[in-house]
Parts: sequence; structure tokens; C-alpha cells
Amino acid sequence: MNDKYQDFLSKLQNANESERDWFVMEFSLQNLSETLRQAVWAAAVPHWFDQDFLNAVLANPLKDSDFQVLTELSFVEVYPERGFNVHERSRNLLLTQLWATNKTRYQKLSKRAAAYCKKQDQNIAAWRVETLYHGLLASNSTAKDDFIKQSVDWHNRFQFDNLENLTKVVLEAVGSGKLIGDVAAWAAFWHAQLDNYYSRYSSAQDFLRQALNQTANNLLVANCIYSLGEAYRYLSKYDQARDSYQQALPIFRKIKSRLSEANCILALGQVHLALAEYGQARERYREALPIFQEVKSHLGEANCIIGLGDVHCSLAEYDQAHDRYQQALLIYQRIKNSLVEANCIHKLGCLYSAQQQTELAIVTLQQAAQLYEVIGNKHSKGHCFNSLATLYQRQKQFTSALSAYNQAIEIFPNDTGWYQNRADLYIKMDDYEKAETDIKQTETISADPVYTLLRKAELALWQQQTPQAIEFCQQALEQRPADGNFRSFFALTLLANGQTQAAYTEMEQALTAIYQQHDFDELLDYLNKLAKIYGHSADVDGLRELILKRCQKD
Amino acid sequence: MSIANYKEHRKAFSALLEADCSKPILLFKGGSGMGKSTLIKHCRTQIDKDINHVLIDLRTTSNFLQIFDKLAECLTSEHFDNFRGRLGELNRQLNINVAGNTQAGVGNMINVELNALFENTTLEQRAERYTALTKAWAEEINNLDKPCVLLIDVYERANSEIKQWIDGDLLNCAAKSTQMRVVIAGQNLPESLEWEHCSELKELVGVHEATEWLPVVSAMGRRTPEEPLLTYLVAMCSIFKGNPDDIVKWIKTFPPQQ
Repeated sequence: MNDKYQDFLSKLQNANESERDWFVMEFSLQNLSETLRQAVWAAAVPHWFDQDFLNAVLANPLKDSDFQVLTELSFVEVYPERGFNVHERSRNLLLTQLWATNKTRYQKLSKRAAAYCKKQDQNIAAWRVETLYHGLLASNSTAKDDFIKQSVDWHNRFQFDNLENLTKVVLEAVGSGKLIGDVAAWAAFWHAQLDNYYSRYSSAQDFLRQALNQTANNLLVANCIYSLGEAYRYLSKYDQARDSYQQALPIFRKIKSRLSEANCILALGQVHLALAEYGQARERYREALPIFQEVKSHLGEANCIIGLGDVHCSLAEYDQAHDRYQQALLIYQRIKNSLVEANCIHKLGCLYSAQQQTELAIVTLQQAAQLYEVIGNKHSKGHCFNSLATLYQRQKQFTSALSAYNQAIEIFPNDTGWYQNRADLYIKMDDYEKAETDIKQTETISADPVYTLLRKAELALWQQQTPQAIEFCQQALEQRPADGNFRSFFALTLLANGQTQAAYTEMEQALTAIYQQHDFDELLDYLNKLAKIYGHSADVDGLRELILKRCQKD
Repeated sequence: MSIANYKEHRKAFSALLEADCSKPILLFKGGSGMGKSTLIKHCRTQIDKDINHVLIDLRTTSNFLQIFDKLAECLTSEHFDNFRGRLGELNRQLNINVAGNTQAGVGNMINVELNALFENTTLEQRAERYTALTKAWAEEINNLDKPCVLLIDVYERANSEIKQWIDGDLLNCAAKSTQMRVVIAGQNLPESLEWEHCSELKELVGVHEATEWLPVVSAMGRRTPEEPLLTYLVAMCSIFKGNPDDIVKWIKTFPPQQ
């Protein structure tokens, strides 16, 4: 065998996998002329190149014939509409090697690439991204600021595709250790924001932690922690969400970022509301409201008012809730934000439903659904049908309720809540098989497991599996200790299990946290069903009396 | 073009072109350098001239307007008119005024209308409009008398918005369509229970059989630095674990045929 090949073969045989990849690349390069070798190194720097771009990076024009040979190399491929590129795997090998052995040369090539790209049309996103990318790698003086400014701009203009392309290329350099610090942190932060928008919450959390490891910049740190809170909140992990917001809040205060401070307090209010901690939610909304007014954020102001309306509604203070929603609606209409306006109308529909103003509720919910249709917001349109279904279900119009849940799911199949609610309906219709199918479906989507636990508890209780029902209730209550509805159902499971005294204690506590008539009605229905399945007893009557007493008191 | 092996993958592609194909979605999955793009290009050469087909390379496709430009290539003029009609209808339904932008001329009208439809839109508005347009396009494809093949390469490079469209609208339409066929190659691939039963997944794990490389060496105009060639290729395949990128790079260093 030819010595060159024989030596190389034995070198390969003794190499590990990563060394071997580079040895093959190196051997390919050794078989090229010096001119071509330099051209390959330079060609690896940009994501794509044509002869003009490559000549600019090389600083010495390449002969046409050499360029032709270069494009015929096995690791050079056609890059549609823009020329050519070095294949991803080979490019990574070349860039890693160049950075490790001659960083100065790498940065020189990047500088030339950045200068060339800057002369191209910066309104074309691909050129803009490439300009910023090379500028960062060349450590150009304005590169970091330009990158941050551009990413903020694309984010604020909803140009998420451009923002994603930019963060992807920057993160590629971060991943290989070429970019660190604030730039790495900003790129990871933006990527996490996009992850949150596209419901990739686990990835968002990873990127945010990565960002936090890279920066000490207070503004960025606070934003990352706040976004972590958002990811937790979307996943219904309210304890972690609250911790994150509470951690971010003093930093926003320290750097005097009033709008972010208000957003953080508002988010805390939303966590309290979700956990049925109505008093604390009200305090937070009241705290955030003047800050939003001070910084003239009308959207934030209206969102706080809506939050206050939600608290009133949950406490069955319907008139105050109505006033708050109307107040917010005027602001939304004034600032011409049709999405939040539709949200507000939806809330009014739910309020009328709670007040048992059935016809008005249906018309209002349909009006909100139409607005969402025009806006093109499927998820929220589905929410309207879910609310309609709830209304029918409370009135025991089960066929209409089922049809509305089905419509909600057809419009937007990925909301766990609708399967949880439909499961509840099936349980009320005694169709346990279908209820189980829906519960399984919620587990595949896997958001807000606490309501899935409650549904499982219901199913277990009605199928006379009381120990399981108790266990599911306990798990759910751990996550929602302030929720009266969760606790009252727990009391029923205890009663079914013969733990009468505990059942009374839990029910008494639960009744201090139930406010709305439909919740009392549902609880009385449960009690009747319990008596039917487990047999009538004086304790059932005792609990009924407790509930009715509390109802009448209201 | 020469391609080493991947016979099973090529066979799956041939089945996709059959009129009675039951799985209209074919997925090629493999790591970098495993030959996905080469396979896609090879597949493209196997398509009869009278079958409409289009290649979408996601390295250079960053927005939906570019995608629709490509998709429109699959439509014959009569179907193109229908599609354009549906697009206009959509703009009218949404009260979008395109009259001010018509100086671009009739030929560019579709671009003008598409631009108007997507200008200043939120993510959710765009998603809704993608669905409507994809359905309109799929209806036109179903009216064709031959299959229409979409080849999508470098899936992993697509941005989230495009991935969502592929994973949802496009593949849902393909699963229900009689004439649409979709081939996607990537290091990672879309997944969905909605169309999974209509898809076939083929992994690319390299070409480990030395004999498969003999015609490639010859097609590349090279000769082995040492005889017998087959023994040499066996050693090479073993060292490179069948990775086509490494093996081709290596073959390129062989001396040219005399």
C-alpha cells in the first residue's frame, strides 16, 4: 500500500471518534493546494458564500478555476439561491480547529466577513443576521449593542422568524465556546422567550438557566428569572412561579424598572388568583395598578382592573366584578387592542353565566367567539365554547354541554382544561369509560395536573375506590390548599371512607372558601350522589345542613 | 448521480409514487453527514417528468411567502387561478385592501395578495391564514390527475413557525389527500399522532457494506491506492462506521483513474 495511505490508515485505527473526524478532514486538506486550503478555511467562516463573498473573506481574489475546484469538493454543497456552503459537519470541524489553533486568524476572517455583509442590503434579514453574527465573532466594538438592539426590535415587531434565525446562529457559536458572557446570555434569553411563545416550556427553562449562568447584568438577570416564572406559570407550577417572581421583583425595583416591577406584581396576583388566594391576589392587583398608571401603561392598568374583577367574581361579588370589567373594557377599546377587548367580553360572558343570566351570557360568549374568529385566535375561541359548555353543564343540559366541549376541542385540541371539563361532564353522565379516556388524554398533554387529580378522585369515589379517591384529593390539595372546592370534595371522600369527624372538619374549613352558588349546587349534587352510591346516613344529612346553612348565610 | 445503497429508502420512495400509495408521508432521519440530502436529490431524479414536484430546502426558506411561492410551482395554470381566487376571497373576508399595491402587475398579483394577507400579523393570525391557504392548495392538488410530490430537506433548520405549519397543516392535509405526497429529511423530524398512521419512517445509519461503494469510487473517477480495492474498502467502511460523508471525503483523496 502507498505509504501515505498506510500511515494514515493506522493513524485512524488508533484514533478516537472525535480525533478521527478531524484526521479525515485534515487529510482531505493535505491533498489540496495551499491556495485551495486557505480558501476552504475561509469558506467555512460564513454560513454560505459565493465567489464575491469568499474573495472578500480571503482578501485575495480566488481564480475562477480554483473556485470551481473548491465547489466540487465533497464537503462543499450548493446553497439554494445564494451559492454554496461547507457542509455542516465539516464546517464545525474546521471552525473548531481554527478557533483552537489560530483564533486571531479566525477573527480576522470574521471581521472581513462582517465588513462584506454590512455592505449588503441590511433590510434583508439573512444579511442582517450574518452581519451581526460575524461582528460578534470578530469582537467588533459595536457588535454586542447592535445584536441586542436588533433582537429587541425584531421581538417587539413580532418578527419571530428573524429573531429565531439570529439567536440560532449566535447560540451555535455559544455552544462551541466562541461566544460567552452577556451576548451568550441574551441569545439564550431570546431563545427562551420564543420557546415560551411556542409552548416549549421545558426548553425555555433550560435556556433561561443557561442565560443566568452567563451574566451578572441585573436587567437581564431579572428578566430571565421573570421569564422562568412565566414558564412555570404556564405549566401551572405555581409555587415555583411565585418564587421566581418574588426573586425578580427586588431586582426590578433596584434597577428602577417600574414597568417590569408592575408586570411582576401583576403576575404574582395571577398566581394567587389561580391558587384561590383571593385576598392576596386583590392586594397584588391593587399594588400594581398605580404603577401601571404612573408609567402610563394602559394595557397593564386594564389587566390589573380585570384581575380585580376576577377576584370579585370568584368571591361572588358580581356587581363589583361587572363594574371592573366594564371599566377595563373602556380602556381596551380606547387603546384599540381587539384581543384584550375580546378577552374582556369573554369575562363578562362568564360573569353573566355565574349570575345565571343565561340568555345574556350566551349572546356575550358568542360575541366574544366572533371577535376571536376575526382576530384569528383559535385558542381563545375554543375558550368561549368551553365557557358555553360550563354554562349548559350547570343547567344540567348535558347534550348541549357535550356538543360545546366537542366544538372547543375541535377548534383547539391542545388545551388540557377542556378534556378535564369534558371528563367531569362524562362523570356526571355516568359514562366513566369516556371520562377515563379524556383523563388519559389530559395526561398526554400534561398541563395543570391538579384538575386531572380531582377528576381521578371523582372517578374513584363514584366507583367505590375510596382509598384512591382520598389519595388523589390529598395530592390535589397539596397544590391548592386554599381552594374550597378541592377541600369540600376531599371531605366527601373522607365521609365515604367512614372518617366522619375528619369529613366534618374538612367540610367546615372548605365552606369558608366557597363563595359561588353554582359551587354550592354542585356540592349538594355530589352529596346526593354519594348517598345513592354509599347509602344514606345521618352524616350525609349533617353535611347537607352545614352546606345549606353556609349558602343561606350568603 | 451515484448513491451507495439506501435501497430500502429508495424502494419506499418508489412506493410513494404509486397511484394507490397508502402512506403518503415518507420521513428520512439521520445524523449530519449520513447522506440525507444526497438521498433526497437522488429521489428527485427518479420522479417522472409528468409528475409535479418541488424541493423546499429549509436552509433558505425562512418565511411562509417563500414556501407558497414554491407550492404554487406545483399548480397548473387553471388550478392556479382557482387558488388565486381563494386567496382573494380570504383577503375580502378579512377586509384586507390590496388595491393600493397592485402596481406590481398581474404576474405578481399572487405575491401582492399574499403579502397583504400576512402584513402586520400576530403569530396566531398567521397560523389561521396558513391553515386556510394550505387547505385551498391541497384541494387543488387533489384535483390533479397525477400525484404531486413535495420534497423537504434539512427539516431541523426550519424556524418554529414553519415547523408548526409542516407538523400540522401540511402533514394533516397530506394524510387526507389522494394526490399529495410529502418526503421530509432531517436530523430530527415532525411527530404527531394525527398523521402518524399515514407515514413511513426510514433511518439513515450509514452504508457499511464495502461492495456498495465500488460503483461510487468508479463514478467519482477514482482508483484505489492499493489492490485489492474491496479489501481496502472493507477496512475503510469499518473505520468510518459507514458514514458517507467521511467515506466520500476519503475516496476524493484517491488518485484519479488513469
